[in-house]
This record gives sequence, structure tokens and C-alpha cells, in this order.
Amino acid sequence: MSDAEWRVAYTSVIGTSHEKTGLPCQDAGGCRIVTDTSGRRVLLAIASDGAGSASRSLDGAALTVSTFLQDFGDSAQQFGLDEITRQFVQEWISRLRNEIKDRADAADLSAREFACTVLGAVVGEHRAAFFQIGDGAIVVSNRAEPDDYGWVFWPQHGEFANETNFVTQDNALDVFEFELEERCIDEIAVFTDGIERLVLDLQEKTAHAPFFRTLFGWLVKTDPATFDANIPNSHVITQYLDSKPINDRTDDDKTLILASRRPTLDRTLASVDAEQSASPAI
Amino acid sequence: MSEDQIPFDHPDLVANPEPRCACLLLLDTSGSMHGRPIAELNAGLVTLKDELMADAMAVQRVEIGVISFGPVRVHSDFQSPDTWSPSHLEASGDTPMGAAIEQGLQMLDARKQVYKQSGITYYRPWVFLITDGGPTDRWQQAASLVHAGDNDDRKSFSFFAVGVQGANMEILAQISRREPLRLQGLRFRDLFAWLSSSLGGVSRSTPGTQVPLVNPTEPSGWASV
Repeated sequence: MSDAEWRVAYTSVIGTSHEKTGLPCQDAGGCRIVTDTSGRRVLLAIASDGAGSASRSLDGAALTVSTFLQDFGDSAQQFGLDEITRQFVQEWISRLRNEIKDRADAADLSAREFACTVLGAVVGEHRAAFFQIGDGAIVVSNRAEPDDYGWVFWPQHGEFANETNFVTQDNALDVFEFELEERCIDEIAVFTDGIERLVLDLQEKTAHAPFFRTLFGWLVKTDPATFDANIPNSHVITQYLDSKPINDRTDDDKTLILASRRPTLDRTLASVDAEQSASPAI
Repeated sequence: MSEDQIPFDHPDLVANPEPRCACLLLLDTSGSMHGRPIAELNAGLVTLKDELMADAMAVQRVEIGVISFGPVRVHSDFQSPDTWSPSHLEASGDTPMGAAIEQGLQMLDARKQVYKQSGITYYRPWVFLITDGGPTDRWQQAASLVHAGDNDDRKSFSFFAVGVQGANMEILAQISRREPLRLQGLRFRDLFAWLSSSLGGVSRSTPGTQVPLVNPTEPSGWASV
């Protein structure tokens, strides 16, 4: 089933509090599918939440997203996941911090004004790399335990609910988390803290399976994404994340990236039928 | 495309407990508050409750604890605005400010423990001391506790001191790291309306957001320094 196509959807939706106060949506997110030299698909997913009080945080978030898609995409196209190690990600974060510093210097601002979180995922056929600075989370599932949705890193908060870590802080590389998993991740959700409290059970410290089951259940039935093209499903989750049940519970910006390469039940049954009819009669 | 065209049923979402924003009020009810000051203070507390109740997010997240001193008495442990009913305070006795601060900070610590044990996240608590006099007990221990919990490295709570006419502002300045505010006249209602709106701001703040506090010392505000 390694040739199953990725189905993806992603969006960033402005929070109602940002609309009220005239702030822009300071979240950014993106998703890209590339093919390495051996013809294997690699999925890249990234989300970044710009700090509300930082004047250029949207620029920080947008830069984080675009350089991730470019740099990790370039590496994955050549080497699959072979080069994407902890050190590779650390060096990338250092370069990103330098780039932010340059932009801040040019504008005569502190790098703090570009403060943003980062949640990154690179998913190959049998291996996946994840990293995070700040809050929000990445939730994954694999085909061996299809109904089991687990988080990769717990959202980073300080003692207080309104504290987290940002790419721009001095000790960013100390609080940065990285994980390489040698297994086939076939469903992944990456999201910023805008929906964190709605989809993670903070008391049990678990991902809330009914949410992920519903959204992935819809996603697997949609058309697969074409390479690097517009993502046809995104308007659905844009609309969902801007719906009343969501806005009643969060007034913050929210970004969600969903990707699944799990075969649909119908397709699985169809292939089983085909195999059975092809077996010789006893 | 309208909402009912979302091609899946709205999934069940987690009902996490709301993050809490505890606010401790340490209120001077010594004999010198007798008359109009205590009446205005009582009216101010009613204003605080009303204003918090009018803010849907604050009702879910803010918790008020009240301790009066003259003598020290816990009127309410931390509770949300809908269950908190402001006691009618009466003025009598001396001003055991030090003991009130110590007991209040213990009550705050205990509340934080409850939050932690219940998996409830919380904001940096506020402590609001209001007095029209000076401490009649030993206050140095209380002052060092305040300094230990509210400094640039350790931010366990934010401590604010407000002096009503007649307050010993010099001692207040030694207790509080922030400059004490002087209440203009008896504008307790304005003070508590400001407090409600500030707590509302804190209770909806997200990471990296600076909570915009209206400066109470601006010309139309309730305070001066």
C-alpha cells in the first residue's frame, strides 16, 4: 500500500478576537508533496503561530513556512529522509533565526517582533521526522493501529496558560524537540494552539480520537492531491474551522494541516474482492 | 458554501476545564474605613461582580478570593463570579496587613496546587491590596514574600497596592515592587470596573500576547501615583 496517494487539506483561519481588534491572522501553514530520486513520495507539513504582541510575527510565521517547504523539499527531493536528522533541523533553525535577525535589523526592530512557533513534519514511506518549538501539536496514526491517534510532542507551555516558546528566543535550540520515527505514518494532523484545547484532552494528556476520526474519515474519501498544486479540500476545513461550534470555543487564529494516505475501506474491500475472484477455484 | 454543507457531522470536541485567572483581594476594613469609605468599597465589590458577570469569558475563567483585615478574615476562597457573592464588609479594629498578606499568599498557593492536581491550566494570578492606613502588625515578612513571588525572575503573581486617602504610601512602596497607586477620592467603583476589564483581558490572552492594560493613572482613570 506504499503507493497510496496522499490526500491533504490545510488552512489558516483568523480568530474572532483578531477580527474584533483589527489584527490580521498571524498563523501560517503549508503542505507539499515531493518525490525523491527513487520515486518515493515525501510529505512536508508545517505550521507556525505568530505571537499576538509581536508586530511582525506574521512575517516570522510566513518566513518559517516558506523556508521550511523550500529547504526540506530540496533535501527530500534528493535524499528522501536520509539527510533529515536532528542536526539538519538544528542547522535549519539557526539559519531561520539568522534570516529573521537580518530582517529585524533591516527594519531596526528586535527579532522578538518576529516571534513565532514552529511545528514541522516530514513523512516518508517508512520513516518520519518531527520537530517543534512552542505550543500546538502534531497528531499521527499508523496503519498497524488505525484507530489510535497519538501526539508527538505535548504543547510547550510555561507555568501559565499564556506562556510558550518561540523560534526567536535566545534558548530556542535548547527547547527545540525532534523525533525520528521508523514506522509508516499514514495519517497526520498538524495544528496551532488555536484548536489545541478542543482536540487534546489536557487532563488525560491524550489526543481526542473522535475529532481526528471524523476529519480523516472525510479526507480519505476525497480526491488525492496533485503534486504541489492547489489543494482542493482546503475550503472545507476553512469553513469548518470558521464555523460556530469552533468559534464558540476559541477566539484565536487556528491552523490545521491534515494528510492521509490510508486506503479507504471501499478501496480495500474492492481489492480484496478482486484477489478472491482471481484465486483459482478449489 | 454555507455551514450546513460541511461534508461531515461536527465532531465531538474536548470539554477541557477553562484556564483560570485567580484574583486575590486583600481589603482593609479597619476602623478608619468606617462611613463612606467602607460603603463605597462595598459598592465597588458589587460592581466587580456585575462587570465580571457581563463578560462571558471572565465568568468561566476568573476566580475571586477575598480576605479582609481588621481583623484578618477570609470572606471567600477562590470562586468564579457566578458563585461569588460579595460579603457586606464592616469597618472595625486595627490594620493587620502583614498577616493578611501572608494568609492570602498561602491561600493562593493552595489554589495553584488544586489547579495542578486537576490538570487545570492557569494565568499569572493577581493580588490586589487596598488600604487607607498602615500596618499595625509586623509586615516585613509579608513584604519579603511579595518580593520573592513578584520579581523579574520569579513571576508567581502580580502584586498591586492601592492606597486610599490616609494610606501610608511609604510602607506600601516597601511591600510592593510596583509603585503603589493612590485612589482618587473614593472611586472604588471605577477601580473595580477597571479590575474586571483587566482580568477579562488576561483571561482571554494567548501565548505571546501582551495584555493591554488601560493605565489607571491617565487623567480619566481612578488612580494617581
